[in-house]
Amino acid sequence: MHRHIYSFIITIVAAALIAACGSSDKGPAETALKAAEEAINSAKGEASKYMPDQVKALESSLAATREKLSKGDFKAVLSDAPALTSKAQELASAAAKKKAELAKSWEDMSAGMPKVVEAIKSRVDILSQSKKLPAGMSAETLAQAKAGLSEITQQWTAATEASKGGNLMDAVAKASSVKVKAAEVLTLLKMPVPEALKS
Amino acid sequence: MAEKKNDPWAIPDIGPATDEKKSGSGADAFDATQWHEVKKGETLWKIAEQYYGDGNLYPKIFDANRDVLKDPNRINVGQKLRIP
Repeated sequence: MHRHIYSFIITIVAAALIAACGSSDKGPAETALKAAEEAINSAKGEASKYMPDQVKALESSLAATREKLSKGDFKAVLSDAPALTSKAQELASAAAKKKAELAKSWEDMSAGMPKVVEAIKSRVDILSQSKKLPAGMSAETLAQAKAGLSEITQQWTAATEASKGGNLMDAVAKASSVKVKAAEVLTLLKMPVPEALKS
Repeated sequence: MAEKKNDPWAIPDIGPATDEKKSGSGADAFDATQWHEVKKGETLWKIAEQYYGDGNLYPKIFDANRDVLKDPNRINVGQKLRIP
């Protein structure tokens, strides 16, 4: 009888100790999760513009970690949350680097592309005055070049507007497509393609 | 590498910064000027025919090269002319 009572008491005490150990992780887990949330919130403003998929993945992982906290899996939270904080910091750093790269690309293209467009326009204007086209160039080729010039001009205007609106990703993407088209038109006109349009 | 490929958090490698040696300075790399080196026996008329199909358009070439040409009838072998 006494043995049963002692066993029962020992079991109760052991269970209480285990519960206490588990709940002692709760505070640190909540703190770690909060730090991760703050790091992600701090990073996502800029990072969303340049790396939206990575931001979504990070937020998804954060949601999963919150779920673990709500289920009392504090050890898992203590393991996951610092990694999330670290990833958020890496993301912020990568986004800043990407932004600087895009700004440089735009700076180069916005300085150089107008000259390319002007060169194409000049040649198209002159050829349009010609009574006979140069050897190896047909009227159809010239028409294609004119259509290409029109497309380039429109797309370049759109790229400039995107840049003015603060959307560097869009500006650079549009400018890059202008580069490709300009290279095609220069080739049609038998003009040299500058190095910057070859990359 | 396979692990990194499947990692949704993977921060993509942005790649190296612009290779200035390869592309030259920002402005030069976009220079689309067409140049023609004058050969023996050429005239602005002939050069205009070559590039425009019409010799009558030679004044376009002359105007673009006023810094090196004083007279459209006098061009020298080896001169480098801009072809607008």
